[in-house]
Amino acid sequence: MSKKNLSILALIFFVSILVRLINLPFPAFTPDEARIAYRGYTLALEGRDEFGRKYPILFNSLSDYQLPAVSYITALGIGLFGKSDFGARMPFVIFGSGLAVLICLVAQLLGKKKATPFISALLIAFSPTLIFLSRVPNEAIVLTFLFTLIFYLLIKKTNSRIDLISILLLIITAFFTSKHAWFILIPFIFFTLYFYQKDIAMKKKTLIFGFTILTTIMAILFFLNIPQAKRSLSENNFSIFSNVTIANGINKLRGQGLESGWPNLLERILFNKSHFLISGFLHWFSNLQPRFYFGQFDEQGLKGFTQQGAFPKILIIPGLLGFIYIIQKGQKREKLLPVYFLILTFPAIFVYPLLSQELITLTLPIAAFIIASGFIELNKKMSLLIATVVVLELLIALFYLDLERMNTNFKRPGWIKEISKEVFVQSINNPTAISDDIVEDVISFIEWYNPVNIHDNYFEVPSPYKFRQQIIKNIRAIGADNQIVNCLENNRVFASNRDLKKITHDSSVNFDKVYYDSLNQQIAFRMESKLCIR
Amino acid sequence: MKNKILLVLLFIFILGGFLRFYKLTEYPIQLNHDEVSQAYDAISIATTGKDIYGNFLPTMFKSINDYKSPFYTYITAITYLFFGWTELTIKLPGAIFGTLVILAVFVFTLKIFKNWKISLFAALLTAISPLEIFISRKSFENEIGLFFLLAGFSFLYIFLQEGKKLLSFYMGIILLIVGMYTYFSHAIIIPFLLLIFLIIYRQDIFKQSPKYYYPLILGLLLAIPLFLIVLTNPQARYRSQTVFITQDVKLQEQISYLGDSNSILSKILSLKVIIDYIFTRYLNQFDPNYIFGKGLDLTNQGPINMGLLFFIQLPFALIGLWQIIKRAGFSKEKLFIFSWIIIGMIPSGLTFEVFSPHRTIMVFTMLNIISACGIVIFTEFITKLNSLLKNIFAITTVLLFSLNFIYFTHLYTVDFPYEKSQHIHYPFKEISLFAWSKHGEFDKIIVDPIFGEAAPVGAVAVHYYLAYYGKYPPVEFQRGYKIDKLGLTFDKFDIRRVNWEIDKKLKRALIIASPWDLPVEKIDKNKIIKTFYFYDHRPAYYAVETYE
Repeated sequence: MSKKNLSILALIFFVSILVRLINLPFPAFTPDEARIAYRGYTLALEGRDEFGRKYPILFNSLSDYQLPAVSYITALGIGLFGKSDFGARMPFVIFGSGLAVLICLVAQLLGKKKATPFISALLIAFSPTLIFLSRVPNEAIVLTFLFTLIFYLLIKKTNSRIDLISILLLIITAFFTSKHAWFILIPFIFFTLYFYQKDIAMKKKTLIFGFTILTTIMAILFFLNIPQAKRSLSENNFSIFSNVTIANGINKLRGQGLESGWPNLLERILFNKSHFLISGFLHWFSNLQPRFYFGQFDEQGLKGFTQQGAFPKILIIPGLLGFIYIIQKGQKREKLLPVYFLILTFPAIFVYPLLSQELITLTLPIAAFIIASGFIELNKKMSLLIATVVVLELLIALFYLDLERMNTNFKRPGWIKEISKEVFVQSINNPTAISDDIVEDVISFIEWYNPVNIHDNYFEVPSPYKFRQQIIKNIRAIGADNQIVNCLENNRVFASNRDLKKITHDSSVNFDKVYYDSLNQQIAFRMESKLCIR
Repeated sequence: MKNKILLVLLFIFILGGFLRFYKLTEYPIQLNHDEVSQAYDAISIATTGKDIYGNFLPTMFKSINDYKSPFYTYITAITYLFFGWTELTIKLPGAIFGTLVILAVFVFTLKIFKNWKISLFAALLTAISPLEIFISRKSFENEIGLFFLLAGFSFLYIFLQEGKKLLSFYMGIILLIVGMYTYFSHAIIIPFLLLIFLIIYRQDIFKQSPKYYYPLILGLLLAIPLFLIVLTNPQARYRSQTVFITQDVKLQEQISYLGDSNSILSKILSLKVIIDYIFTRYLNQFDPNYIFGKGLDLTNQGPINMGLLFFIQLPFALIGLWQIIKRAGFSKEKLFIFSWIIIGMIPSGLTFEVFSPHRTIMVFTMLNIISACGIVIFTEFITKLNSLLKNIFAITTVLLFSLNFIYFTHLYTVDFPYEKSQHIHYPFKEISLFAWSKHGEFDKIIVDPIFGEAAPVGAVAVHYYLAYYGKYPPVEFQRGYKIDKLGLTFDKFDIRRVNWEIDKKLKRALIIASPWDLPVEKIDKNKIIKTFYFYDHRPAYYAVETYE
């Protein structure tokens, strides 16, 4: 690469970091992200997770077991930058920006046109979804980085011993990053080695592919030996098979047919377990619909801006052009690129009915290359017009965040910071309780936003699966089943609307402070003392 | 060869006709509220020249306060003159044009691809297409609009390909303008598509002679009344507003977050939110699960449903798409095909319904054509294989298509009435016939519009059902109907909510109401003279005599 190109790439990397640092407190953490951040702190401090386990390789989250890479990466950030939002987010900013550099290197190997790699890099640098994912601790951005790096190392012409070792190490790292990697890596490596790469010797190809198969088997076998592993896979990676809607639907429609006199055999041919496969197959394709790329990546705001697709909307024009271009005029390698969309997202077949934005994220570097291929086909005026619209859309997305905060009021409760700080302050002198429906997993926010003593929190939870912490030293969460009664103790209670109703119904205790959420609705109430939880 | 092609086409046409006309009045099992209202309005127009509310030859039909576009009602008025007061009268125009669409697809595809195999497969896929059959049997104007759209552009291609005869150009333009009158979404889509067609083929058309502008001028003149109706008629505007995306609750919520500020920034942000929302909704229409999995929405069983196209079509659609993109020397046609799909989906992106396939049927017709292209590629591929493999592939494909079709038939004829009983207002035909059978025995018959299986909903066309199935003379309806705060009355019928504690004291009255408004457990069982059931055998309505 020439010095000029290196300078451009460095500039893109720098701009990419800058864009990711604008308004960095946004997006507010979800409970899981707050927990990861706090875990990063405990790991950085003592090499223990939030439950006091020394260097564990499986962690807790609200929905599944969590693989270790993201937590240790967060720990690294907090170790370097301290216990702060910046420290927890910075490593992911680096991964996100590094991805822009990587796609530039990959694009240089894929296409002939000189501008495509830099436009691809810019698209990754300015992708709203990737900007978003680069600001919070998450698996998707790390895994996308790893896959793109593996892809780059596999398709580049010179393959030294260091490259080979790097590939093997990256494969291992991917296995420790996300369970999705266990399912994708085999087809991904196979397709790349045997359809894309002609310069690696067959022996090396066999070694890499064999290593991938072996480590996949080892990872799965290791995981299956852990308590609740089957449940974890069934609930999170093969949820389609436990989906009652499909099973009930088959029975119900078959019953209606029998009642109407259709032959039993035909009913069994028409309505049977193949519907699981068909539903899964269509669900897989649903994950590849253009809406995610150019319309709305995540309606809930967990994996992206609620109003933005993975790329600015106007880029659908070069996106379509690029797709047509690579099919019509692309080199063989380019023509095969769409296959990666299928390979990288295929585990979505089994994750019905939830959409798998993490898997779609893996395809974004390829999508960026395709859009870039279309972009250079445009004439100058059109390119300028599209670039202007992209910039305007991004400016609004990055600087006008009120609507995003309101749209993600409960999923990303930024307002919980104030409440959690107040809860912690009160708990220094008095037993304090907080309703557990103000936010999901309120304890994780209290831990993250306050100078808690990490030793207060060590539990005996050897294999925490969906473990929800209810207590930390002087603070406890109030559940729906708890009763709140009058007593003479000097406790402090932070009640939700649910618990306020209970309290005012059963006692004369009133609140002395109200907290508001992003929609300016009353979300929590600090009660006067003399309340006890049973 | 030509005779063979025509013979196959004839077979496909007959097959398509059979699938559209066989037991037309039995499946779906009952006229829905749109059909019954259009049928009765059509009879009213045919016999009095006015709709049921007394409006003379209206350009918009008030109907059930949804201000329907007029084309289907007027065309039904014509079929009424031939077939009289039967359910077939309202069904016929849709089924006839739905069948003619098969021929139109054949010609249109032949003109674009110049390949009779693709054209025949496109006609076949259209003939057996779930969406086309569903819409054709549902008395919708979309099939009529689609026919004129395909016929119009076929003539324009004939004009381009066969000696640039001015007559073909005139025919094409006139047919397209007629298509615009059939349905409001077509009034927007057709001009757009025509404009793109003219831009794509501008050098082939306008560089030749200025006389080719004349058909366009004629088209413009013919379209003026339509635009006057759309732009000046407040009912048309009302109709547009009520179906526009801004009625969407989620969008309204988003806009409300921006506050009431009148600042320019606030207005720009509101506009951006609306545009974002429209764009996302538009892109949602390209969800493969919607197109191939559940778009027809025949059941309430989640993914066990029916797509707008057959599931098995998916690989062929992808192959076809790939082939069309790759095909050399096809750039203008390619551009037109993609424009057709991109523009055709716009109406669904603009309306409050999350999905509205009836507004975008033209896109699915084009996807059938693209699938046909994929099938031809596939057949060319398997003909190169040895005979065993060839037979295995061919038989498997035919079997899978057959299985998919039987699956659709099952869902449509068996499950749809069970699952969507409420949606098609199932008990109302029976209720109406029963009410008229008791007409002489009571002084007043009250029919409560509130009904529902899981939650109460308001039936909006009760008066239409009663008048239609009672063969009540429209002229009498126009003279005698009254609308007040409580509801609508005509003849002996009161269509309003029942207040049992008060209404039970009425003399010689028959009350027909659902359990949502009727305290069935408190009523003397001897007074319940009939129970009406939803198709899945759950009670929907009770007919109760009053105590006095």
